[in-house]
Amino acid sequence: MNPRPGAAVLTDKQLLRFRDFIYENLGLWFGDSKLPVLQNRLRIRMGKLGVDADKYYALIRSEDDRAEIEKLINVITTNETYFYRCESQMDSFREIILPRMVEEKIAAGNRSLKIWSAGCSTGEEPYTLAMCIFETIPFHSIWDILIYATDLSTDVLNRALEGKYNKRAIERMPADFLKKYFDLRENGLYYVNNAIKKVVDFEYSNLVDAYYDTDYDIIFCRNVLIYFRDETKKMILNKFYDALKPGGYMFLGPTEMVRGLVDGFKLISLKDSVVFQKAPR
Amino acid sequence: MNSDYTILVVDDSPVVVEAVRDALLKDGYTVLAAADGIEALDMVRQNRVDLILLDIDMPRMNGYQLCKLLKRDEKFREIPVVMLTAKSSDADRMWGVKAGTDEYLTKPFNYAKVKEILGRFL
Ligand SMILES: C[S@@+](CC[C@H](N)C(=O)[O-])C[C@H]1O[C@@H](n2cnc3c(N)ncnc32)[C@H](O)[C@@H]1O
Repeated sequence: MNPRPGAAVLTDKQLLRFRDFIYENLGLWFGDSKLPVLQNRLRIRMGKLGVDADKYYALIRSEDDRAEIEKLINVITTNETYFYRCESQMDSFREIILPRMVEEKIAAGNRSLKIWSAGCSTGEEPYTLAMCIFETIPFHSIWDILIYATDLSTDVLNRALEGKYNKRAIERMPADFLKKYFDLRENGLYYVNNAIKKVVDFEYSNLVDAYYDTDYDIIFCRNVLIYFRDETKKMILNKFYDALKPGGYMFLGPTEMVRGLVDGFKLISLKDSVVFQKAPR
Repeated sequence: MNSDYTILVVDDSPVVVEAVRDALLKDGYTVLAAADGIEALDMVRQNRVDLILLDIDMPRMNGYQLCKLLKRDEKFREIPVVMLTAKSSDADRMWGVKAGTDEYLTKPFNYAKVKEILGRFL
């Protein structure tokens, strides 16, 4: 690829150094086919700072200033998302999995529900889950509902917390959600209402880190594992296994599979999608 | 007496830990150090700690996570937490506040500011 005029130069050798650094420190992997993407994003960042590749490498490696690493994360992550993404999967969650789980819980006298949206990006996914829960659980206000939403990009988390979306983000959502769960403000933007916001807790954390709670009913980790190598995927999926309660469910992106990566999950086919259920191992 | 107080310094950078520890030791404080949130949690469970100087970006368990855990726990809720970090935007402060931090200090590390805050909390 030819550098754009004005863009910083980055040799292949330098690029690979960045790739390794990112993998070792953040867990994200840029395979050969994704190297041009990484190259572009690095160039943009270096161009903005007005530094060359060696300087930039030194900067992100400097021990006591993680601030630039945070900026780097913000430019190298892909944050594409929208409300009610993977419609058939969301339908199944809402119409099959959630009612089943709620029924069991009520029978057991347990009115709490804890969900993890791992790699939540700008918030569309966890907010969608909250809306589905409000739709499905008749007296949700007497329930203890927590949707824990995590990401390692601070940029997206700040936007998630704001909860302000344009028309494109909400296009695929069932039409009545808009009336029930958003306040429309001027300039064509839609604000997630406070009842929904109250059940979602955003937190900055890297999935590669070791710390996690172990009492989740359901985990959503969709379109995130694609950024990892198999060894990292294995580690994260095993972490999810431990984080789920017995019988808990895990939703991955529509094309993401776990075979050969983790044991103990039972594959359940739903209408046009699948879900993984934690089984004893 | 400063030596009555134990300060826990949590940072994954040995350089920062050393600098902060040296300065605190000079002033007579008792100092403990941990390299990440998990280590820090162990220390808090095993020692009496009077104040925590806490970095945010750390492997295994980050500063926000540790702070939230401590503030949720009756036994540790009262320990003042001072986030010591390179981040300085309003949004970053807000995340710290959301996690329950008692005070916020931005790097580069300025010991006069640390002292001022210790004076306030201890
Ligand atoms: C393509 S978005 C997917 C958003 C949403 N789950 C969906 O399916 O619409 C991927 C998100 O994963 C986040 N991510 C990537 N690596 C991560 C990691 N190691 N820890 C936490 N989040 C990560 C990115 O910052 C990004 O916001």
